[in-house]
Order: sequence, then C-alpha cells, then structure tokens
Amino acid sequence: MATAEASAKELAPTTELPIRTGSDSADFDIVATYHSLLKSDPDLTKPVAAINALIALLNTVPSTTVYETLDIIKAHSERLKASVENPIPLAAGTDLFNQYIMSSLKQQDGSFDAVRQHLLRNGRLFAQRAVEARNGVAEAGWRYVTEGSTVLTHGASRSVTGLLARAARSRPGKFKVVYVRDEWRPKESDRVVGELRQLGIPTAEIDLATVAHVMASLRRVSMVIVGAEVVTQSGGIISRMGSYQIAKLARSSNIPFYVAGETHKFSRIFLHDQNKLGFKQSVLDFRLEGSSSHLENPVDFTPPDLISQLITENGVKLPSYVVEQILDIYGSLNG
Amino acid sequence: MATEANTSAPAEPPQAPATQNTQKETQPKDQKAKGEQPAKDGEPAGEKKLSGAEKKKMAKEEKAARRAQAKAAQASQGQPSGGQEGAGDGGKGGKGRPKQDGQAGGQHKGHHAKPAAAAPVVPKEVKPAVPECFGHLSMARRINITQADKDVDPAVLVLGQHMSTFALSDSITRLEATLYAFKKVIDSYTTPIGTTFSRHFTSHVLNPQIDYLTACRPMCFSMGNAIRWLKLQISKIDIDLPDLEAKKLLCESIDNFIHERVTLADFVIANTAAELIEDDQVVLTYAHHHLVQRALLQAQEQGKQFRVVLIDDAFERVGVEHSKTLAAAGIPVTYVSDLGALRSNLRDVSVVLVAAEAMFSNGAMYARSGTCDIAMAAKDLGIQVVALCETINFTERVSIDSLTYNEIDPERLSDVGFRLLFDTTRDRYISTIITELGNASPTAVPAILRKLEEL
Repeated sequence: MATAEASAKELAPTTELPIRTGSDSADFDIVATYHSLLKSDPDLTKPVAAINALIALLNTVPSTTVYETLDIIKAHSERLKASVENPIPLAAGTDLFNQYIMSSLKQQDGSFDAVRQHLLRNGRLFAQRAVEARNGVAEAGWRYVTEGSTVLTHGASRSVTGLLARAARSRPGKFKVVYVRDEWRPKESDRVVGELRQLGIPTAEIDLATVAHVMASLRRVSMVIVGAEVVTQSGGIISRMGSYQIAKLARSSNIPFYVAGETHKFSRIFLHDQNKLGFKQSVLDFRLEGSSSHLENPVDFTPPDLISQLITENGVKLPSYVVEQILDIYGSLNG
Repeated sequence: MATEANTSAPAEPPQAPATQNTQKETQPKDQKAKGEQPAKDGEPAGEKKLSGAEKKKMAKEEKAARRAQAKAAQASQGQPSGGQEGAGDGGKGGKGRPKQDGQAGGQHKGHHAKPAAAAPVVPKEVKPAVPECFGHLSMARRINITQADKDVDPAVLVLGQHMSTFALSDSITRLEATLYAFKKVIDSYTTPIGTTFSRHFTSHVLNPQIDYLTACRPMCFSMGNAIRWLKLQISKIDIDLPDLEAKKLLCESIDNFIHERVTLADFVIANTAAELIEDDQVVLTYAHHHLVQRALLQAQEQGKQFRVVLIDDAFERVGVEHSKTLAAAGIPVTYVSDLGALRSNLRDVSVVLVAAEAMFSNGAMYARSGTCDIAMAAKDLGIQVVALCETINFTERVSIDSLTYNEIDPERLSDVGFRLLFDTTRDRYISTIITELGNASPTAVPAILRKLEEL
C-alpha cells in the first residue's frame, strides 16, 4: 500500500484521482491493440508491435508514479504474452521497452514525466527505427549474394525479401533464388514467390522434402538465408518450423547458413535444446484414426553452431555477437 | 587425455608419508575461525604444536640451514619473492600472472629441487620423476612450517598446510579460505611509522603470504583474480586514512566480495541449475562438487523426480560420500566407480552436470581430470553438457589442451608415472555454462569477462 500513498502525493498537482488510473488501464485492451497494430502495418514485426502497443497503453494511463506505471506495464506485458501461443518474439519487445524505460529513468535522474512525454511524442520512432533497421540489414547483407549465386530461403521474412530486393537492385538478374514452399501456407508462399519474381529474380519453388536433394547437387545452392522470429542469447534462432532442418542439411553439405535479423529481435532467452522452447508447443499428436491436428504457427530452434553469420543492421556478425549486445543492454544474461 | 605418463628416472614418492598425517585434520572453515591458534588444529603434524613464540625461536635457530634450503627450493620453483610479487600485482605482464605461469619460468631447473623440498628431511638427491616436457607443470608440496618465511601469518600457515594436503581442494573453497585468512592478516597488521598502509602492506606483508601459499600449492585462477582485486583495493586506500579505518574498510570490502562473488553466486547457480532439471530426467555427474550437489538437492527439494548417475573419480573417491548424501535426500543414484563403460552409462542420460575449476576465455573448461572424457562422449551422443562455474573462476587466458595449465597430483607421483589433476574441455563439447549471471554458451565467456571488467 506504500505505492498508493506515494501516488496520492504525486497526484496532488495533477488533479487525477488514483481510482481512475486503475479503471483506465484496466479498460485498455492491450491484446486487441497489439493485433490491430500488427494487422494495420505489414511492416511491423512482433517485438515492435508489442512496443507500440505498450506506448499506446502509456497514452491511456495518466501520469502517476514511476512504480505504479512500471507495474501497469508489467501487468499488461504479461497479459499480452499470455494471450499468444508463442510469446517469445513479443517478449523481446516488451523486455526491451522495460529496459529502455529503466535506463532513461536513470539518465533523466528519475524524472518519469520527462521520459513519458518523450516516449509519447516519439511513439512512431520505434516503428520507424525498425523499418530503418530492416533496410540496414539489407545494406549489410546484400553483397553476400554474389553474382551467379543461388540463394535458398524459406518463410516470409521481410528482412530476407528486403535483402534480396536490395541485391536485385545492384545485381539484377545475376543471382537466383530457390524458395522452399510451406505446404500449410500456400497463399503466403505464392505471395513471396510472386514478390521475388516481380523483382526480376529467377525463382524456383521446391518443397521441404526436396531441400537435401537440391543442396547435395553440387553448386546448386551457394547459401541459405533465412529470417528469424527471435535471436536467442546464445546466437541461435527461433524461426519458422523447418529452419533447423534446413540448417542441418546446409551444414552437412557445407553450405553457409545466414540469418537476416534486426537487433531488436535479440532476446535474453536462453534455449538449451529443442525440448524447451520457452513455451508449450506439442508437435506430436498421436492418433489411431482421423488426422493429426496441425499447429498454427510452429517454430523450431536452430542452435548457434549451425549458423554461419547473423546479418544485422550493425553489420554481419558471428552468433556470439548477440550475448555481447544483451550484456550491453541488460547488464545480465537472463532474467 | 594424457593424464598418466611414464617416466624413466627413479624417484621416491616424497609426498606420501607427510600427507597422511594431515589429511585427517579438521574442516578448513573452523580452522580459519580460530586461525590464530593453528598449533591446536595441527596437532597430528608434530611441528604444529609449537606456539608462535617457540616457533620463532626455533626458526631463528634453524635460520641458516633453513634459509639455504628454502632458497634452493624457491629458486628452483621459479617463484622467489620477486617473481611472485607479480602474481597479483595487477597482472599486466605475462610473467607475474598467478600460479602456473610463475612455474613455467622455472621449468628447466624445476623438478630437481621439487622433490627435495617436499621432503626436506631427506637430504639425498632425488632424481626427477617428471620428464622434462612436463617440467612446466607444478605440484602442491608440503612445506614444513618452520621453513616458511617468518612474516607468514599463522592463519595463512595453516591454510597453506590445508592446501598442500588437499584438505581444501576446489577453487572456490580455496578462494574463500584465502580471503578469510587475509582478513586475519589485515586485522593483525599495524603500519610501521614513516610509511602508509597502502604502500607498505602489499609489498611487505601481503606478498610473503601469497608466496607461501603459492609454494604450498599453485594458486588457482580464482585466487589470482581475487588477489589482483584485493591489491587494487589496497592501492586505492587514501594514504591519510587512519589504520583502523583502512583495515575496517578493507575487511568490509572483502566480506562484500565473498558475499557477491561466492555466496550469492553459488546460490544463483544452484538455483538456475536446479531449474534446468526436469521430471523423469537422468542427470549424470562426475565425482563431487559442492555446486552440483547443491543443485541436485535443490531440484529434489522442488519435488522433481529425477535419477542421478554418478561417475566417480577412480583416483579420488570423493563421489562415495556425494552419492550417499544424494541417496539420503531421496534421489535414486547409480554409482559408477570409474570411467569404464562410459558410453553405456551415458545411454539413458538426458543431461550431464559438471562443475568447472576455471573457464578460459576461449570457452574451454578447466575441470577435474576425466571431465573432458565425459563431455566428449556425451556430446557425441547428443547429450547436453552443462558446466557450473562462478565468474570469479573465469580467466582471460586461453587454453586448447590439458597440458598448458595443469597440476601434478603429488600423491601419484612415483618413479614410474604421474597423474595430472585437471583436464581442459574445449568449448564445442560444452552446451551451456551456468554462472551467476545466467545461462550462457561457452563462446560467451569473453563477453562476460569484458562485462566483469566494467563492473
């Protein structure tokens, strides 16, 4: 109850009643905001959408004490995480946001109002920076797509298509793409392939079962570039189901496996192996009759030792770069 | 792993008789508490009975003889006080760096005097048991208390005896004990007139203690780190600060250091490791380490149902007690006496939990000899290998083999062979290291080291 007292003191000049604080933030539907943000802007990634949703939340919460607001943010972050099947990508965003608030508070000598005002005024900045970061990834990585090379990719990562688009601008028609189709998402696969062909990149579509064959045919694939939902602390990635498989196949054929991802996807999460992804995902559905259920958004974990390099907006880095960044931002490794 | 090697030259096993005397000594921690009366605790080893005054007298009488002998021993060990001073001095130069390095300098003349010093009573010339190529490796030696430098504090004297007999063996216990002993040293120190604490203490009081400890057993990496830290703290003390205040300040910061880097660190590591263990898992561990034991017990307390396969160190049966403790806590334990049939023992294992003596900055793990064999076999079978280690054990040095840094087991040094105490596991055989900062992959060690430097 100490916070209530403190907030009462703080609130005196602002004429806001503490009771309203509670009702307002409770009314705010963070989950709906998050999803509408994701829908409204196809350029938004999950961590950035989560950050924007939290900023929108700050908008509705009247200025109160620091701790109360931090509590509200925390509660809503938890609610948001609980609402989705795989909370890891957006957790990267909420963690980053929390850390940002904390560190700006330190810089501003605890003047919470200044931080809040700054955040509200620059709400779009996060999204804007995220788009810039994606362009940065393309800039950092496009030279890897050398003339005459063939890039194998799968999924619908905007970083990857951005990178390929950038490469196509400088080397039109000089490289090819092998796209691994997702049999569960024919529409998405059609869209990505369409985009690539539109860019003037000769694109071949294969299914996941053909990857090993294509890779083993000498010089058919020069590199793999995939996107990531989250880059874990150890430098591994959580990504669309199938990435791990492709990474393993690439390793056994000695094909470099690159990951294009912005640094805001770096997460403090540390995965030991496939078993613990940090959330529940039951892939196996044993039945005697009927067909097994299919997961909506299955992901897998590709360990860092299968990843050649991470292509980030800060340059092309080794997987161990992630932990340095995490230590820089958070000061500790996890939790 | 080359842990056993044959040697040609005949030699006596100089350690055996002396060591047995002290091995039944009481537990280290109590000793430090009453560190001022080492004589009492040391009863079994005859010399220790002497009180401080008597000892001094006796030391005086034997001065000439002792000096000659000690000098020879020290010089041959490559650790005369000059060299040792560098041991913690900030460690800028390669030479002065803690422990093993110091030995490396004196490798050529090293083994001639080593056995002689270990058994000083036997005047006859002992031929080296360790071949030249292993000459850089050092070994714990029993140093007669009367042989020690007169400046060595009683608390440190006892500590040295414990270290040389491996009553205190793992890196963290030794670190803790050393810092407590140094607190005693600081406490009993008075700055002589005409000098100041920060200028006099390190060179005239602290360094002899460090030399003595290093002579008893080569320093471990954590001790090197802590001593470097301590010397930095001492040098930071304001010269105008009165003695009493300075001593109080220093003792407080030592307490804080132990609290943060050892007590809290162990707590966090044990917790994190316990979280890792899941129901129905089989955890394999090697020999005994208090961190692993703590983690397993904690997981058991949390109500997790798991099984432990304990592989013991065939040369040092520390796992017997360990397995009894675990079994008493209700954890099903399979005890395996040695590394034989390693692969079949690993078959059902889900995770290998080991503790590291130190981590090198290339991600390699320095741990009890035999750890590497287990890690390699486990990795080969796709089992994750988790290493527990406090960050105080991290060293900025690099090692890719088990021979650059190591120690010879003084109890298994005979004319036909010897054993090394540690081995180095390369980073690719380790999946995760758990430190007080959290889980990390071994490649994160340099990043963590850099972070620690900032703190």
